[in-house]
Amino acid sequence: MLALAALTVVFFALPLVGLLWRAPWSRAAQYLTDDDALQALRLSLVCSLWATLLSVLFGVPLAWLLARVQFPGRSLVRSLCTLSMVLPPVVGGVALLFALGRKGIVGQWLYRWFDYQLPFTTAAVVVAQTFVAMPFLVITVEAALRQTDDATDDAARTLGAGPWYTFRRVTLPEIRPALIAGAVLSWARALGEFGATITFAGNFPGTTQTMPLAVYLARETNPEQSIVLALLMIVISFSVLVALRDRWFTTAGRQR
Amino acid sequence: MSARAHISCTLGALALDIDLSVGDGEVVALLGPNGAGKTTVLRCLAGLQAIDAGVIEIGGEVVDAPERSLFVPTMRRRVGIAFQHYALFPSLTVLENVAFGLRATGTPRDEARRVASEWLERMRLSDQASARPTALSGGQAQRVALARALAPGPRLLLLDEPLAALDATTRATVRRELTDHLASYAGPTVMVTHDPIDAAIAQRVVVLDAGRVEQEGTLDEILARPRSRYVADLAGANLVRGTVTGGVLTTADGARVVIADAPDGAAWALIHPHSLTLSMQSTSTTSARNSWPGVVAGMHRVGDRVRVQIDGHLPLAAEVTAASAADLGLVTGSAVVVTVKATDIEVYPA
Amino acid sequence: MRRPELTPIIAMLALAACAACTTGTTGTNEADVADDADVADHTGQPDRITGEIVVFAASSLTEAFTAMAESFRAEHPDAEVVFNFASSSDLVGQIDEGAPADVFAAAADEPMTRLTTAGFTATDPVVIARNTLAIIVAEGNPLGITTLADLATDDLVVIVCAIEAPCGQGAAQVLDKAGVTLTPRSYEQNAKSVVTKVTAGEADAGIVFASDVRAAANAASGVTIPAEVNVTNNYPIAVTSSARNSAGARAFIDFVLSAAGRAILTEYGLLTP
Repeated sequence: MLALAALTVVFFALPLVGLLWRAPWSRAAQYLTDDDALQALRLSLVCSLWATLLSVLFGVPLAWLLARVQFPGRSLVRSLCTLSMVLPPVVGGVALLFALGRKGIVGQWLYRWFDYQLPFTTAAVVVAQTFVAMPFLVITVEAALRQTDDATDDAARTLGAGPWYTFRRVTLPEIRPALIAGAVLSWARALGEFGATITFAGNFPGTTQTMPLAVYLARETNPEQSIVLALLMIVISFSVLVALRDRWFTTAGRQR
Repeated sequence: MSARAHISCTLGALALDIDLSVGDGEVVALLGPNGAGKTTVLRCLAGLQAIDAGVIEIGGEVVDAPERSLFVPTMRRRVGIAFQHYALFPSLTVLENVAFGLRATGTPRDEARRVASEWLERMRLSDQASARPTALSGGQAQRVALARALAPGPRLLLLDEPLAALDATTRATVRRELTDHLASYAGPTVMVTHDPIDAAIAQRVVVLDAGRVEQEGTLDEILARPRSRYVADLAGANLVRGTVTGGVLTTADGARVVIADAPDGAAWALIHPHSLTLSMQSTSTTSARNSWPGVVAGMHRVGDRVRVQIDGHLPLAAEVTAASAADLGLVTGSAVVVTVKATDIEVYPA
Repeated sequence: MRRPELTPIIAMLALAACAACTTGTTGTNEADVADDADVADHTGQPDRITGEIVVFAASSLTEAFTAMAESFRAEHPDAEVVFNFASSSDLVGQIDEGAPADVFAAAADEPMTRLTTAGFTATDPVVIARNTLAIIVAEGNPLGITTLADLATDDLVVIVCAIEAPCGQGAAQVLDKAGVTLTPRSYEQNAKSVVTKVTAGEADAGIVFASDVRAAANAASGVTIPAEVNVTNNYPIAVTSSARNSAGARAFIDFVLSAAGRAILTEYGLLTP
């Protein structure tokens, strides 16, 4: 067991070591302060935070629906809403084009009535990221909601609390660790999102070119820079994971 | 205020159909085996479960009447529940738990906290005000649950197995305290329990079985004249149902029990285990009118006595002293003769 | 630089599979024949081409080369052509990291030069085809786009390839030559994704290779860019220095350069030298 576990750690650590090994350390600072890189980084952070916010805003009610409300076809709805986790991201991007693009099911009306074309905008990046990232929040929060005691909900109702008050004061605090974990997972997924973004939103510096896109394209012309940018993303994600992991694991541990 | 209910609803295999009324300051215990529908009654009263037919009236207000399409949701019923496993809010402090009902219904924060503090003081829990529910002992949690239910001033108090989750030692203490707290509550209380000792808290006991009321009365009345195997078991007595004709009660299985005197018709016969006499297979004559052969199916000690389960045409439990059990050399499998005097059998109409 | 030796492993697996199927069906005699074939492969007998030929080719050659493999197989039934299609620079990177390629075909001179300079080619690169750029528009050209200058309006959603991709470099040169300045809405990762967005109706026009327009013929239309401003892209091909099946590699290249091969390339919208 221990040997296998150790091997697994190596499996995860090795690619990182590979990047570190190939990184052009002497020129790293120059690549990192490059305007285009900073622009992509800023866009990535802004978009991924928006995607996380939207995931929480819309994902929590969805998780609540899936966990608490009995309705026919519930497992079908659940599968549908988490499909984008298993869908190849590029396929997801194409599907989004067909739905929200200028000729899409809904997009054509947006275009016709409001002269609004979602693709090629920063909003499209947020939509693509939310599409692939939200399921991570939904399944985490749904699992937590299922674990909470139904009796506490009943108790709140008998004490005169409405559904919203109950959710805010009782349910939400109970699922907070899972909510944080789900939000972090979603954020990490959004930050690393590539396929759906480039397919749905395109690639234009400052508007839709996020870090993963910049890393991918730089890889062709400037492999050194792409390694440095990739490492930067890893550092950001890693530090957030480390910082939050401790917190959510301890609170989650205390809960049960 | 008082509460009256005719509840009729079907939930899976359970068809619940009962009449229940509880006066102000009265405590009614719902007693019955698992699955009898006790908790469902509470849920119907609280509005956590809608009834299919009937009427529920709490404090003079009709809160559920399906025939009139009337249903007052839980949050507006002003019914307090202390749940079996307390269902305290884990992320709130003890004080916040108790203040919850007041806050939820719009009482300003400071006022709610003041009232909650008073309740904690009455429940001798002031020290725990800022503790989390997980840090409480079972007895403390039970008191918090009760305080939380009572603080908003409910029109009806419901207790679901209030003492079941406690260990034997705390249980006696908490039972005494609970009796005191209930005495100071002016409204009606319905308590669900499966333990006759806990049911003693109540002024009136309603025995439920399979969704119907089996028996109703004070605990003593009920235990003295059980009308179900369940209650007889609680009383530790043998209960035989049969038909009386000319001083003999015949069971459905055809076993005959000679009784002192009782009118003809369907009847219950209650035979206390200590009134049974056991002897080894022999023909010694006694004044006892009833004498049945049987085989010892099991024995267990209860204090200085031994309870002997006897299989035979009429299965019975007998209670003998440990000494006589030893004298007789009783073991599982022993063939015995059970005798009982007709005058020791209490018979009442079914 | 350490290079993982994947080639022998793959060769062994292929051999094992082959041996298994022959012995499994008809017995030892057939297995001997398989062994002989293997020997022939290694000694490089010119008239009998056998085994797997691994071809790394630019993605714009996907359709043409897939058709090519079928015709090639008709001439060399004992050989099997296996493709790895990706962007030319991706392929250079993979070969550089030790991927087992026998043949490399690029969509531009530059990636091939990079590989040659690094000493990964065994033969001199030969140009098998040329490609020019074209404007791709919605089917039937509903907006009536006829020139590059038509693209330089904010009313149109125009997309091009990223400068990192061959079609992006080409587009930059063409626009420069034509003196047209336009701000595309997106720099797509490759020609195929430009095609996808134009056929999906998301973009009004894009600049891609003529062969890409040809491949999307039933969903999009093309507008020719005049030769005086157009650029021509070379498609060079070479045997790699790490080739396991050099005989097969040479035979494949010969076939591509043959009349039959040229006909296939032309059919798929490429110009042949």
